[in-house]
Amino acid sequence: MTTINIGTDFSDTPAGRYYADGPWTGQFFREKWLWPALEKHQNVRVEFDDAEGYGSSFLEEAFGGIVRYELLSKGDLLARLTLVSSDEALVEEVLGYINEAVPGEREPRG
Amino acid sequence: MSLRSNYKEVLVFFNRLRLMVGRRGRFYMDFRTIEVLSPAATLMLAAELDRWRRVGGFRPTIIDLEQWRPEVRRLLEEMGLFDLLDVKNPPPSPALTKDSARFVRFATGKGALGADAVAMRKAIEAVAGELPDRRDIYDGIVESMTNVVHHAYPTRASYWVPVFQGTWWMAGSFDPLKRQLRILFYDQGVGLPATIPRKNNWEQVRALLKSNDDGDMIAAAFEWRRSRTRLKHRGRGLARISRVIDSVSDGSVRILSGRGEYTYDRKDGGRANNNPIPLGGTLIQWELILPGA
Repeated sequence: MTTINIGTDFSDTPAGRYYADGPWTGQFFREKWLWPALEKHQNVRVEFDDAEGYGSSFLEEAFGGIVRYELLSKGDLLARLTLVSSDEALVEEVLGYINEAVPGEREPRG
Repeated sequence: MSLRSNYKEVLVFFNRLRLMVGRRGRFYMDFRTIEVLSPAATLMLAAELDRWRRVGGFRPTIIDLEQWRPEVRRLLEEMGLFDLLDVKNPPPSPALTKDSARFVRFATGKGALGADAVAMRKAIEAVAGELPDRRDIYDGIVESMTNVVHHAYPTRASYWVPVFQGTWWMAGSFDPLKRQLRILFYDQGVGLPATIPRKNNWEQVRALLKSNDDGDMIAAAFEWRRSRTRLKHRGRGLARISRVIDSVSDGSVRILSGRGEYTYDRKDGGRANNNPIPLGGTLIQWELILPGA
């Protein structure tokens, strides 16, 4: 088990979906923090409380993106992630993005 | 000048100003006759002047500033327009009282910049006190920024006045008598109605008939998670923008875009309206009544 505290390990001001959107985006978090942790560890605990907030684009790209890019199945991801927040609605929201993600769904860029 | 009470006249003024963008030579700004200036109209004015400044040829001359209404002067000064207009040594504004409306200097940027959202929240808290629902406010602002990057300025769109891709402007105000906080966010893009896909035959017929249904299209984007990309994982941003309203006891979010507008509050839900002239972008206005009234 490893722990990622988004606010202290990544950024306290996460925002945006793709690299081009800004400095601390969902794609950046997924590719450089979340997915490497999942590759290395069976279980990953993600803590949300120390950031200023999260836009839906950040959360969907970071967590739903794992399923959409077919890095893991929904079941595997849900079994290996522990989401920790004092805001239960936030955890439900992230779980919703994972559950609603369509494996293989891509979008035209540019 | 208010987008609520005289929308058409304000937009006619802005369109004249837009026609001047890029022209060289002095232009004169005389606001002696302005009796009321709303924060939203002021943010749009800041964005227009900023656009002209960026394009070049911007040489403003202020006329009889001391004769402008003091509250108009204070708003322009606090929101940072005097710096844009290069006003040196403005006449002193009347002393602030505990009941004076306060305004937060406009900020502009490009991209989803969480640090800028935090800076705006802190600037608002400096005049309004600590805000409830800080996270929802942060989420609403950064999601608005992200929408600007992804949707507001499609690369294939044509613009009759120069635009700066991905650029947004924001500001805030606080009325201590009403405990009313406003956060304003504006972009100069093509507007939401132009980017939302029409889903059914009726919406396509309405478009062909050229009847103005922009308000309904904004409402559709809010209520039905409709996004330009048509992808299942997109289209949640607008709902996130309105979420802060669900967490306060009294407040609303108003979106003006294209020739439409949409207002959402907890009591009445969403209401769509149409306007006679396109806004020239998208303006989001959160209005929250803070506790303690």
